[in-house]
Amino acid sequence: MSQLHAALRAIVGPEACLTRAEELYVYEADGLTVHSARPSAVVLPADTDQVARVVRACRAHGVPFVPRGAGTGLSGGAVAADDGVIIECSRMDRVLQISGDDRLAVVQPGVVNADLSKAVAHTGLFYAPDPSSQLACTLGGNVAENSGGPHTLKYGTTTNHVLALEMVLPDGEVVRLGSRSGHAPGFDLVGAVVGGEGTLGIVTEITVRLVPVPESVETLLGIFPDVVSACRAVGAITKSGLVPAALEIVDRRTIEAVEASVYAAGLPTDAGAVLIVELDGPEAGVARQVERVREFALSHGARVEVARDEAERQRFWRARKGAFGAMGRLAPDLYVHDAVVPRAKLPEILERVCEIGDRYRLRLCNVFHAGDGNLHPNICFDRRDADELARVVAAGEEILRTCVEAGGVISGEHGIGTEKREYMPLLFGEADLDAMARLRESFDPERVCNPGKVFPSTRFCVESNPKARGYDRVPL
Amino acid sequence: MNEAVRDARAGGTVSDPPGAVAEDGLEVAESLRPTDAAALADQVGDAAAAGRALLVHGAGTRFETGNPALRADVRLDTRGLSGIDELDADEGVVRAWAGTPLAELREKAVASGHELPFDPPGEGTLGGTLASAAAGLRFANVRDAVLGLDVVLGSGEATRSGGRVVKNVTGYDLAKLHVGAFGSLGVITAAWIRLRPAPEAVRVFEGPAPDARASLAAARLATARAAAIHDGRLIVELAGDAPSVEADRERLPVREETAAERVDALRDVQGGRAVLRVRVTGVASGLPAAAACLEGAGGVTLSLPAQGLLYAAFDDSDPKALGAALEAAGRAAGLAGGELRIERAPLAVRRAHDVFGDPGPLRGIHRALKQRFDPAGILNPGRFAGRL
Repeated sequence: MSQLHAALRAIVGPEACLTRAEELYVYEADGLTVHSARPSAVVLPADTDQVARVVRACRAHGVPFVPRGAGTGLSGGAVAADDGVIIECSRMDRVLQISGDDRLAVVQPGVVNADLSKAVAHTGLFYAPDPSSQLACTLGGNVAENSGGPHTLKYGTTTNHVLALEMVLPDGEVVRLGSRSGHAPGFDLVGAVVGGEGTLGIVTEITVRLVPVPESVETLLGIFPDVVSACRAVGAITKSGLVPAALEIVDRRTIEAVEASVYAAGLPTDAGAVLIVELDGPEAGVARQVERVREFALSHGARVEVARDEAERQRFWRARKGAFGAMGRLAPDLYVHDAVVPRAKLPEILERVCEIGDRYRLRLCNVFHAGDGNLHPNICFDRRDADELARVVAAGEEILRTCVEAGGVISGEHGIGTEKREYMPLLFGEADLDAMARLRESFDPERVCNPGKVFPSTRFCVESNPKARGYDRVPL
Repeated sequence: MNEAVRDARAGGTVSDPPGAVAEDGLEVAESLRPTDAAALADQVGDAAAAGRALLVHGAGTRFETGNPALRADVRLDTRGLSGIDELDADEGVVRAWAGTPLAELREKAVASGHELPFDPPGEGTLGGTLASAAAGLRFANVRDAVLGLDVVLGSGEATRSGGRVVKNVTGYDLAKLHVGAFGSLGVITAAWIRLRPAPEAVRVFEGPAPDARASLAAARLATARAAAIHDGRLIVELAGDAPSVEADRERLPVREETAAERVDALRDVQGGRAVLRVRVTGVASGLPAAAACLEGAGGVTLSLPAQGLLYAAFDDSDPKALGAALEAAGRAAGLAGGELRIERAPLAVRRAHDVFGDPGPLRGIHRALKQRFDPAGILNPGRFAGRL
């Protein structure tokens, strides 16, 4: 290993190669703290060439490698397996080009999501996918996870906004996929790589589509007696043909947590749920949409407030965006689940999710992208309490099964990573997983790039003995 | 549906007489029309075992686009797998079999208060539209409407990816790989599609095309669903809620109101039967120069500036003229900052040029994908990019 470390130091410089235990500690997990593994080294390359050389050095030493952005992922995707090397792209953080005329930007993978929209603001455009972690998460990580966010209902997820990629293949070759026009001869490899969870190579440059800042934005807050009526209002709104920019529900337990925290937004703590609706587009249309949404909310028993100014708009959103921070106060650990169901099933599924949480004696609350049917049951817990941790895991599995039975899927935006790999057979048969493996192996026949992710451990014994060093905290 | 197909509905296959079809100058010995996905998977599996090459067909509306097949033993017609499996009007999603005619899907989508997010030229099938990623005037990004896909791989396995929900990162997004792959990795048998809410108001306006900047601005209006420049005219279809459409109408540089059929008619240029038809993709700022280049070479062009798509048709079949047109098309792609695809051309041209363009340094990955998804090399051999 020390030979590899020497080689890595020679490539990226000693200050950009971390190998001491105290330096590696923060890289043991991503946003999902219950899965962790100690990497053998972390390198912070400065450019594509260094990434390629690091990959070749790892190959030469037979050591797997894992790309990492800001480490805000929630499925263990950026955790290194089996003494692997983490290639962190945070130093590659330049916006290389902005073209207002062509509505695109070329960025390095370490650019922070929110910084991109700031950098292009002068063009009247913005970058649409806005994960809740957008103040920290990077575009490279967004590409790996096909990140979503509250505004994907109208604008789509990362995959709808990536035109081209430069990437280092798992054999160290540097290639370009897609083009500025979004088209390229042959297979849609950009489409295959976005959401590939960093298992198909390491993205070193991203060309993204930018969209115009809407002429008008209105935000409404519906205060509902219970979460079921909020869900029904969402169903009525989407069924009517309206496409709001966002439709977000925060349940009572979350409201209590938010109001007790620094994120307090002045929400009534006796409310059963609040629904945040954002409408954007041409001014003439938005004004009428506000009225239609207000009527849907009122007829489902809500009290409705419309933000009068930007400050109030920000206050409404604080209830949503501050939710995770607020819950972080309640316990040492927070497990943010992620599953999707058909929207019509939301009321029924939410009741069952809460029932599951109660049955396992867990502090479970819900903040979710109701318009997409994308649930985020959050569980506050303490991972040092083995019994509680076991209950968290068991409840999570039951929630996933419930969503799959309702016609849903086990991840809407966080990815599979290590977290849900063993649950893939809930949705996919052997042939389906095998088809995914064919894609994986076309890019990475030896499975050295981010091994131990996405696929159930029974598939590839070489890459994923579940007892292998690393994933030992949670018995999956 | 003919008698034989109906009789075979319970499961099975209809065979046309041998020698009934010829494609790309090759005599195809047999044509099979399986009537369920299991039968189709069996046939693909059998063909793989026997090394028989399959030409995968829907309605054949996009068959002209492709390199000449290297081998063709059996024509596999997906139209026996037809019909809507489930349409969830509340959710705005539909699952249909690959051979379902787009016309049928469109009708059912409209009846449920939605619209189909596909409008390619010709009356093709769902499977053919997905396999060829066939852009229309209004909807260019076929891939973005696909939620889940059932595919029989070249090795005969029936596989599924994605699902019915509108947001999903559960496993790799394999649908992206198959959409636009022209059946070279697998045969699409069914799909979950996200419908679009039907717009409240649709109005079409046209007039002499203003300068490139003004045309682009019109094409980029929030409610502009289709915008095309053709024959010196700018045609814009506005669709959305009535007040927004009305507001955008005031901003349009063209004022003559016309019928929605005007937009549909432009698809005849987009998918017409010219001797040579090409598609050039590019960035917005590059398209005007590319269009001028194609017109200078005698091409009739159709430009979709907001979508970065440019089509040109050439009608002179003289080999020298064809050569000049192709040369201009290559230059146009360079000017547009994008890619050239030959969508229709005589066999000789398709033999001489890879109509999709060469995948270049990505050839290795293309080959690896082909080998893994279609190890026996029986699906449309030679027809796709890189003559895979």
